[in-house]
Amino acid sequence: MANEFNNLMEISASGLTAQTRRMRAIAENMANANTTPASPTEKPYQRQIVTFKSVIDKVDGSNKVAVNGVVKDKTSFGKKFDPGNPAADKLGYVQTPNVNTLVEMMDMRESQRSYDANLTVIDASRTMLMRTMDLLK
Amino acid sequence: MDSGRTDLITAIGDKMEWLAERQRILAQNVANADTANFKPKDLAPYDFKNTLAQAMVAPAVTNPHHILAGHHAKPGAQVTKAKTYETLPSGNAVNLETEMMKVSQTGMDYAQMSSLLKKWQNMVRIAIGK
Repeated sequence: MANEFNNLMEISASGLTAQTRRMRAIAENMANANTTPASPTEKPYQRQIVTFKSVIDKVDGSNKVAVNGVVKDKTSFGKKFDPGNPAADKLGYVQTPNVNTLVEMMDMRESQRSYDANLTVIDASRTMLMRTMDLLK
Repeated sequence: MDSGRTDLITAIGDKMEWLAERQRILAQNVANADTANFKPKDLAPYDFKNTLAQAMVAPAVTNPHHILAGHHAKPGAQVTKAKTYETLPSGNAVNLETEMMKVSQTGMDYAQMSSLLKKWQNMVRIAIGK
């Protein structure tokens, strides 16, 4: 039985890890929201998206969550008129990252909510485990 | 201690095991709350009456016209698809609120079962004078 509880916490922990990785990508996106390229030929920062997949643990057959991969957002870059910038093209435009800070904020909230939910499940499982242990007293 | 009573304790243990298993299924649902194409699962409801019927002495069938009360199937922890009412464009159908509600319900049921066991334990303790 106690082993079951351990597995249980591992499942929730996999959720925590996955959400943390997502949070990191969001933080990177936010930090680079204004990163313009160094020269006109280079590309600006491209937004990163973390995708999840459900993996079946071969030991206990439980459905854990794992990061499937970090992919680049294919949305087109923005343009800003800034002729003085070293990265400006002939017409004076600079390419800007395809990061929308509002979308990132929403993503962050969602991730946070899922993280909290996983923590709550860990807490509930711990309480159950403690109750089992109390029976020994 | 007659076997009838210990059977009841086994029934409570069975229920606790079922609850732990359910908690595991729910943890999977919550962990996969943002996974594309993930459909939440749940356990088939626990049939306590059935288990109780097993724990009690079953009436003997002495005549073919007798109807057997309570069938003797082992309470199975069968994983079923949970009912959902919302699927995201990504194909994910987990509703965090529903899952959290189930998690707390499972926790409370577990607490109830463990306190029942505790009560029985205390009773035995009184009986043996410790």
